[in-house]
Amino acid sequence: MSDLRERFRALDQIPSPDLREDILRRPVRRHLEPRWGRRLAAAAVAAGITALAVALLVRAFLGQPPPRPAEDPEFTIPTPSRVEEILHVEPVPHGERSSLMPGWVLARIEHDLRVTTMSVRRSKGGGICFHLNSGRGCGSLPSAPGEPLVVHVSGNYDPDPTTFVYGAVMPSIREVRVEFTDGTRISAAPIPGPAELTANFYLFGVRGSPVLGSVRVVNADGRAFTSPFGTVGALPIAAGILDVPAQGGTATGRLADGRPVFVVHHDDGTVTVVDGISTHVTSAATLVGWCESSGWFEEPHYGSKFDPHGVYRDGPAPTGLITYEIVEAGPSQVRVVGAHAPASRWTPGEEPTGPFCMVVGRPPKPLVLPPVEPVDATLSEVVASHEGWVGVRAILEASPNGALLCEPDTDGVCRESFHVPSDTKSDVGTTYRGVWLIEVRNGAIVSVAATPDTDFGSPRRGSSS
Amino acid sequence: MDARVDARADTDLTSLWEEHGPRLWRAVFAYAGDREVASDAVAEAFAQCLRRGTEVRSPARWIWRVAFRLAAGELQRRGRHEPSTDEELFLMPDPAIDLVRALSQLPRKQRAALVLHYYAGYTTREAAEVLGSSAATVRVHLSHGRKRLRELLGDDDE
Repeated sequence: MSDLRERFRALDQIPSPDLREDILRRPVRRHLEPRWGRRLAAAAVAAGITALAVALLVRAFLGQPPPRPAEDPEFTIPTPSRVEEILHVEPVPHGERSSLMPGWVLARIEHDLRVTTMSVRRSKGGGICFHLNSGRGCGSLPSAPGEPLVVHVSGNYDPDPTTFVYGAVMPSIREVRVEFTDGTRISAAPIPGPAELTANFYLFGVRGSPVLGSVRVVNADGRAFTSPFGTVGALPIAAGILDVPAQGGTATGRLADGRPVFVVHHDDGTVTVVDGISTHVTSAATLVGWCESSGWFEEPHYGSKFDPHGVYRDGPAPTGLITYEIVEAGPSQVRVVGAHAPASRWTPGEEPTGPFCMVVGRPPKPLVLPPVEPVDATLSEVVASHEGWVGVRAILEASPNGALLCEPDTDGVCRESFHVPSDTKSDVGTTYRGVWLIEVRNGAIVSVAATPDTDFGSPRRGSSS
Repeated sequence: MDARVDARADTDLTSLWEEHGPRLWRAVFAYAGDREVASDAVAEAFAQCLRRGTEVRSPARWIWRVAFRLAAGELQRRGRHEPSTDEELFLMPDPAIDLVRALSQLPRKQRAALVLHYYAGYTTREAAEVLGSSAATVRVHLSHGRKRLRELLGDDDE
């Protein structure tokens, strides 16, 4: 047999051409078998014509349009435009410690992109992998806090960048699912950022994670922004014990840090704890109230509506309300042990049980709102000494880079202003007066929410007490 | 910190060509008996492999398989089972001329099996993978091809 090997070695003496230039010049999809190519093309055309004819016939007979692509919130058909996406992921500091997980991860998608499915996993090597629609990319974790992790994700994406919802640029993301190797799963929905961030920001939280001071977003140009949703979904394990009302009832309550919530005891005996602050934020967030007649949560200032489970139903809010994970803590009491990020707008919800309390153009009917009593202290004293949510009497001025909250002296002149991160693109220069619910963390105001006693928002503007 | 994890982002034409190009070209040429077919099939296989990037897990195997299939497709299209090698051989040394002429007398499948096994050093199973057939089939082709090739080369006595 070795004789044949020897014989074949003679082939090595044949001079071979260098084809490298030819290889690089070759056009895409050149077929060496044109007859087959033609046959396939002809078959494809024939199949297309047949399918079209069948669809038209069906339409003519049934009088209905042909079925549209599935609108399943988790899966849509990606269009074949291949682009490479780049994600910048930064670990968000929480308290003294700073690590990527648990906590919050900020993902910024460089290109406008419609993300229908997304998941984040720890890779075997200790890194992090992102799955965006059909694309996938991994990277290793940053070694120091604040050091960006750049993950390149490539795949087929729908180039349709954004949709416009109530005049604000919102990402057309529907739901974000985050799954960790330890089995933890959360779902999240888009959270609106200030105008200059153009909403291509997605935040992920881990249920039951340690106290999170705030979510800090650093823009490409270096400008920083602290999310008014800073503490959302990052409650401590012992987040407070709440009283449960009688079956069929809804009551207000406060978490351990003073955040207003509602405890809903449904007719079927189940209990839901729903956040008391709307996810709709302009210059400030607003409280939501419970409307007895409709059996929904309604926002007194802008009219967003949510069902008794906090599911979005109407109005400018980008998502549903935050809800809380609870365990039984005794007779008629529950303990809040974690938070769920708000469900997406496309989550199916319950129908109203009667007329709404907030209808544009009609005088509002009373809502059950979390009581907010302004503290008897100056704003600077509150900011210096308080931690958590507290009511204050102040003036809020919308400024280009957020809002300014100040306590007026007797002449109505502001002595000292505190910066509050918010989205103020539409009402820069406008001032609003009244009682506000503010969230103070480490000597700074990180969130502000309008109360019924605030001259703020459209439906009730000017009608404050 | 760029954590790009493309496993083979550095698919480099030069290194791939230097390692496999000339040998593959000679193998396909010995199989097809036609410089044009060999050059076209090999260049197309390399180009497609580079275009596919990381989709191709084992570029060497892939290129060999694709090049042989493209060459086989072209031979079939031409409907020419006996390649006309004479005009191809004027630059070659005698032992190579003898071998290529002898190979051109064999059926296509036997030629492919012999070239892959005796020249490229593939086992029967690996050759079967390249040719898209089974190892048993390749062994049969090898056995028949070996016998016929020895006759043609005047090695009958072995």
